[in-house]
Amino acid sequence: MFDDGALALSLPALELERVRLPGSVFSAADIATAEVSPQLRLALDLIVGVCRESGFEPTFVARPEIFSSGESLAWLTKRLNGAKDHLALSDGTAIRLIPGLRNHVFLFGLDRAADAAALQKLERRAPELFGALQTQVNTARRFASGRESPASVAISGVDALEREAPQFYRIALNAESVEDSVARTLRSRLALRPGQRFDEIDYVALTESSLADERFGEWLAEKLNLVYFDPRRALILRIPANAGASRDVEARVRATLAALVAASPRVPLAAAVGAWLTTGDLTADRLSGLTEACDFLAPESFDFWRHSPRSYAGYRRLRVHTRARRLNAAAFAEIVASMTGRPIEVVGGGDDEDSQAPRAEQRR
Amino acid sequence: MIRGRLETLYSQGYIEGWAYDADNLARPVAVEIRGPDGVSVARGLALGYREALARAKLAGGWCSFRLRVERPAEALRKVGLGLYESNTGERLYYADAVAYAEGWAPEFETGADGMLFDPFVIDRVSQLSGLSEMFDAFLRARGVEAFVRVAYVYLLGRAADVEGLALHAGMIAANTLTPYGLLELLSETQEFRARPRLLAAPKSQAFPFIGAADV
Amino acid sequence: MKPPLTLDIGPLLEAQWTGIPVFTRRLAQALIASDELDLAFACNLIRVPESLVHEALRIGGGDYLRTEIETNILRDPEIVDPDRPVLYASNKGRCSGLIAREASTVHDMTTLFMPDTHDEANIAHHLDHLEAELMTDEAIFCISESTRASLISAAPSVARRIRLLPQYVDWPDTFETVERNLPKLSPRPYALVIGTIEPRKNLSLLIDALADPTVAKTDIAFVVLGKKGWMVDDFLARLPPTTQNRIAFTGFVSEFVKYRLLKNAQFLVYPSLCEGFGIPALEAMSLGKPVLAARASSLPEVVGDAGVYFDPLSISEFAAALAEIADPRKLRDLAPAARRRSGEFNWRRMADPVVAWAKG
Repeated sequence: MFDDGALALSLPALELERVRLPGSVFSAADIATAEVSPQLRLALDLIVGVCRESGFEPTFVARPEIFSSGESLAWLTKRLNGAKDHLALSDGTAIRLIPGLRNHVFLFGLDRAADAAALQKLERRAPELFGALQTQVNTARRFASGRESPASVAISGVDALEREAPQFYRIALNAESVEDSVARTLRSRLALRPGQRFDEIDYVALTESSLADERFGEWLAEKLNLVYFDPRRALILRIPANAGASRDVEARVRATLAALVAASPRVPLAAAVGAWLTTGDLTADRLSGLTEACDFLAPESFDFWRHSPRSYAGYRRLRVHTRARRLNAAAFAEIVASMTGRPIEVVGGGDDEDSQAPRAEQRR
Repeated sequence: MIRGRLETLYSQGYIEGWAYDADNLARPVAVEIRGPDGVSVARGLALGYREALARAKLAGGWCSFRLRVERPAEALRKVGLGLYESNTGERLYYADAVAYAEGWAPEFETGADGMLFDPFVIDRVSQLSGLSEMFDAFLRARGVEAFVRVAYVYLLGRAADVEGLALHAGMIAANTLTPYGLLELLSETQEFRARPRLLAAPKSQAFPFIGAADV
Repeated sequence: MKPPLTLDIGPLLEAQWTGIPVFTRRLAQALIASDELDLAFACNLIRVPESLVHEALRIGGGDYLRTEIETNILRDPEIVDPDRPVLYASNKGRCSGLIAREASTVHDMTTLFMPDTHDEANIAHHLDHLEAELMTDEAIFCISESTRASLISAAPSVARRIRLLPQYVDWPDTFETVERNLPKLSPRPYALVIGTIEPRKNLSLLIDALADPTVAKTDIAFVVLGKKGWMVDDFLARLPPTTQNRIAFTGFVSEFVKYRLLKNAQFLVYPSLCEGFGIPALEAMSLGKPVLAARASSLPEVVGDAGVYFDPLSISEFAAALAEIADPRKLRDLAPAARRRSGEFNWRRMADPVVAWAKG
């Protein structure tokens, strides 16, 4: 994809709705200051960065789907600077292809519930669409049982940690009331104390998509149960980056606690000593003051590509909870390993491995 | 029997008149006007509405034409002009000199009303008040219930409800309501006013009150 | 003996016929005119009497047909003969796979590739049964090459079953006679614009272009077939009065008014991002009017050499193309091409692929 000196890129149409473009074909400079979603901005920075490192500027196409054949396709192709590959940055609602080019997809927002749900609908409605793709970037989805899935390619490492220092809250769950849980939790803000130590910490980076996954919720609830009654252990949940369209902390806390309540954890009505919510990314370095044994846990929808391997160094283990029927587990493990620089342990699903699945490639 | 007349030649190059087929009121008569040399000077269809023709009980008013003449109007003044049915060549009317008037018709339509003028739709339901003969022919051919059903669809875009059908069919059958009276009634309902519709004119293909013989 | 075919006329049940209902009407009329089929009609596999369909075709609207079906036909419905092939003028919905030989028609794939321009209900209507429909189609008719290419992108396995089904234009005979006798519209030259508030129609390009200096220099007004939306009002209010006066909106118009507006226009402006076919372009060309067309989707395929093209997202390209086509010499050059191009689409070209399929 990046070796030919040219690449066509497309973005979700809704993200460009308010952007004044010079035409159907444009450059990275034309959208450098455009207001797009944070996830898309990160994905753009990543891909454009790789292109530039490879010595060329990508060519953007606003609506590749309108150049499907004949003269319009010929017109477009002439303007792609010789690109033989098209990478569609997709939010799951559509995957657009350019005939005659090798087409690839980067599903950059699967941590968002809306994107994940949209993709599921798309898979159901147009199962053959995915067969037309050469590769999928940073994902290892198995699209529609029986059909060959596109090979996985890992591209990662923009290291987009938030500027704001994360806040911490003790989790106080009321199994009967989400609102009460939210109120109690937000009242339990805490500051990290010097000298506070745990034997083990599980740091879980949640995504909005994962909150809709019942099995993941149950797995999380079990971990919560453990720390309530074992003061040597801690569970720190990094709340998702968004709750629907909102990035408001309260909304994100509410979404997280609603998922926990739904999973019916067997915990007392009290703030747990070692069960916390945090509002921002934490690295193992940041947590090293609290423990020497910190595991990083994430759902399969976590956007591993947002961070360089440096962010994942220092964790004792990297564990990923997956639903294997949607995932090519072997390829997934490989691309996450290459993105994190560490081997990963897959937990959760895993009863339908595909030994014939295509292997993943590491790009970076 | 086809009747027709040339009425007025306007200085701006239009000639006005009327024509209709008394045996088939739904059919717009195709007319041609020829000069003394027998050459055609205007051609068109007599399907327009004029209040004056309605008052004169000529096809309910739906038989008017206003045609562009292909020669300067001044040249046709005081010469004999004949009105012919285009398809058969039957001469409907002849005048040694058609009445002449200074033109009032605009050279260009510029207002919205002009631009959106459509002779194939009616402006208001009252323009149908002179069509009792046509409605009666429909009743004879298709029956009262069919008329009521078609009236509901024509004005309200939906099937007649059971009560409405029974009520109105009964009234028409008992001659306590005329067919046009039903159209007027339905056009005064809130339902009709809430959803303005383009209603086909009597001489358009889409006019539904055509008896079997007229199709 | 003529091969049998049942044509599903479901789209004709719409009150006002635009888009797909008009396509269905033309298809029905083309098949009737061909006289090569033992033709029957149905709606969701319920037989519809020929007389009802003929009357609907005469009237040009679906209210009577629909109410007849609802009140009479469905009281004692007759199922179609399953041995007769069935052609759907649009998608099959839930009727897929019930008849031995089925074919459906794909108009465009915008619900799949441009979902941002549709509401979810419409997307679900078109896509939820798409796979089942395609799997049970013996033939799939696409209304243009562009639609065919899009469908193949989405479902490569159907490629060999696709046939083209191009549309044609048929103005009522009376229109020309009536229009000829009416005053001309507007002393100021104008272009007719196909544009509604639907984002896919891309009217915003024209609205934005009004402020462009090149467009300002072109002495042409714009008459838009369609309603103004409130956002357009806001934008227009910010333009100088002389510019605001250049654009007028007609609201919904009848076929005759559209005909007259086209007949009196200099050319058609068609900035649409994506069309399945683009029948307004053909309508304009049939009256000798060239088209200022977006170089996208099916428009180049339909307009051919009878137009001037522009990138639908580029104001500067639009402005340049407008300046080119507004030149009277260019219009004179293109008018014959427009009529010729339009003549290449006729009822025979629409009927033949269906007859060929029905013959097996």
